Amino acid sequence: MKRYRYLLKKVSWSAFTILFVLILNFFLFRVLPGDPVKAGTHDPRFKKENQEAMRVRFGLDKPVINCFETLNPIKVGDCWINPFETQFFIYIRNLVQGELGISYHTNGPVADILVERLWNTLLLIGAGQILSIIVGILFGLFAAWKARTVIDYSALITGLVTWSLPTFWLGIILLFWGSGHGFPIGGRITPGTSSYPLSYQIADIAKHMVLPTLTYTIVYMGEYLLVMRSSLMDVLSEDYILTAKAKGLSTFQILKDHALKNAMLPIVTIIAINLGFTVAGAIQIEAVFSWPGLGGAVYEALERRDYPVLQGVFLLIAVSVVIANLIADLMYSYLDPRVQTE
Amino acid sequence: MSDEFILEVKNLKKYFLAGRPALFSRTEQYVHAVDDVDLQLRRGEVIALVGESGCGKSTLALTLMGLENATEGSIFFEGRDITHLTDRERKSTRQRIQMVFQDPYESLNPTQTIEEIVTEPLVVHGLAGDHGERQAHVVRALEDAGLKPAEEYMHRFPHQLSGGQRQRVVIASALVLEPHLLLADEPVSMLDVSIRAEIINLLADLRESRGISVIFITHDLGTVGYFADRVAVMYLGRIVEIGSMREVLTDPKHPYAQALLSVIPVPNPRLRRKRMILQGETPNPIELPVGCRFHPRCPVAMNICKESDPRLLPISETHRAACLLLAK
Ligand SMILES: Nc1ncnc2c1ncn2[C@@H]1O[C@H](COP(=O)(O)OP(=O)(O)OP(=O)(O)O)[C@@H](O)[C@H]1O
Ligand SMILES: [Mg+2]
Repeated sequence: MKRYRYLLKKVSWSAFTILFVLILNFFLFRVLPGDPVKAGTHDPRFKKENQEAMRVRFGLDKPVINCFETLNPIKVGDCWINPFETQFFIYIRNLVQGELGISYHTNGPVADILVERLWNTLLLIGAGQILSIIVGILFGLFAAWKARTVIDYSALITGLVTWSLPTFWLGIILLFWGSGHGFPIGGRITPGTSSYPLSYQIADIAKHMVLPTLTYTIVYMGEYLLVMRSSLMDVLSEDYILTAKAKGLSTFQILKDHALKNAMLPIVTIIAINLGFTVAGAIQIEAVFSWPGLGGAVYEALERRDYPVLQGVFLLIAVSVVIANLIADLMYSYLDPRVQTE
Repeated sequence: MSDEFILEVKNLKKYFLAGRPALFSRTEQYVHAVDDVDLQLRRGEVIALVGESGCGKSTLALTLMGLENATEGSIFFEGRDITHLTDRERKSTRQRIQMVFQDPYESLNPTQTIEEIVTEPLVVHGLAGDHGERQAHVVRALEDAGLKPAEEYMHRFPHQLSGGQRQRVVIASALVLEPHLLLADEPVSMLDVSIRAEIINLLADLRESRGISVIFITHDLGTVGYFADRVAVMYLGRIVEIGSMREVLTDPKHPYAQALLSVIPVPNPRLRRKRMILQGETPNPIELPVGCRFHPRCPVAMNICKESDPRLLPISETHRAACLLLAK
């Protein structure tokens, strides 16, 4: 019973947060300066009627919301208009139908752009995340187990150094090194190979992924290593570990049955939150390796003031972070019985 | 080795490396946590080990349990030398010596249910074959430890129990293994005063019904009361007085034991002793005083006390104290 109430509470909080983000996201981009039409008005060839047509196409001819024509600059308008004819309502209605608007730059649906980019990002950053989690946790475990030995201190230093390495810098170093060793220096596929057999294409993508994934893993495993190490060391100094030893459990049994589950608690939260941010991609890595992922999309959209794309990406990131947090909470309640009743 | 004693400890020492006095100094410093302890325990006997915080009581218990390696000396348990054993060799001994830790809030794994906690030792030692038999053992241990009916507690987690109930779970999980010796390290000091007596009564009952020998560690002589057969008083890593409970409580010979006793509240005002408050701090166990280790705080110290380190001297058949006053 308590468990269900806990679940319900967490789920409704997440829903509430997402709703809040939806609304905030809309107004954020109305308050920001600039629109696609203005961007082109310096060009004398851009005719007035074309400008007007463009406004209509992006729905910018409609008032933002009742009482406000525009928010930047603030222009007060009619409060007694049909609310269904405002940008805000159309935004919500489109969202419900899974539409994220039209890109100012490509003129195509934002949703299509995001879906393609999202897959690329999930492929690259997902692989990097999973690798850094596995490597980081294993090294962290080993370091804590061999606490205060040379192994431990080397792991600690490695963790600290890699964690503080600038991603951009490491990426470029690896790029230099890799280009001399037959690795492609950027992109996702070798141009002009789209008609090659599938097995060739898969191998090609994998080759392109090596350097960025390596960069990602090196930079991100430090955090997991350090947290895992200190968490396990904390747990190993608990009295119940001593009790388990006194009961006759072997070191392996103690690690497996008592230490790991408790030591994983802080890690679960970090993993979930980081996985949430995976969707955001890694702007720096995607930029260095020209990887066509969401991080890169954000970068390009920022340069082009392509608000609909930015708005869509922001929404995607916010939703996935909220969902990742929800998953972390649920996992936590499963792993730690104390959570359900507190 | 005689069969009379379940446990014999000889010249046991446990020093911890405390680093160097200065960064580049050659010598290393040690914490003399347990410094030459002799102790013999009969079957079914309860001995109270008393001393102020930091005198090495827990370290002694952990060394007896094999959770710390002895620096020197020997420990015989049921006739077998258990001082230095590998984990595998120690396993059978672990079943027969169990320990109750001080803090029941720390000594239970928060992610296990009470049933899992009490069942685990049985599984580890391959006792009580099938599931039903195991469960019967667990129920009995819980009920013996005063958690009745056991079914009501088995499926709870530690955080759903009170401190006293948790300590009963700790005791039950020690009892399932049917140990011959129980080391209880201040098992009630973290509990409410109202629950302390219950837990001590429980231990007293268990000793009656199961004939378990108990080393009961406490810094408060008042809590052992009638329960212990003998009392050993510890100061800075060493036993300075040992005797039957009556002898030590009514006629302590060592000035430190006298001071400890003088501050116990006595219900009968006519028996109230003059309170002896010790001067000074406990010296640190890294640099022990030369001579008698108690002399810097001793109200009756003599000149010789600064030079000569007294051994335990007999006062009666059962009563001994390490004080140079007795040597005269
Ligand atoms: N692992 C360790 N490393 C270094 N010093 C230690 C270690 N364990 C204990 N000590 C030191 O040994 C001395 C004895 O500690 P111990 O825990 O045995 O005291 P205690 O009598 O149980 O005290 P309390 O009543 O507070 O529990 C203390 O000075 C303590 O600081
Ligand atoms: Mg202690």
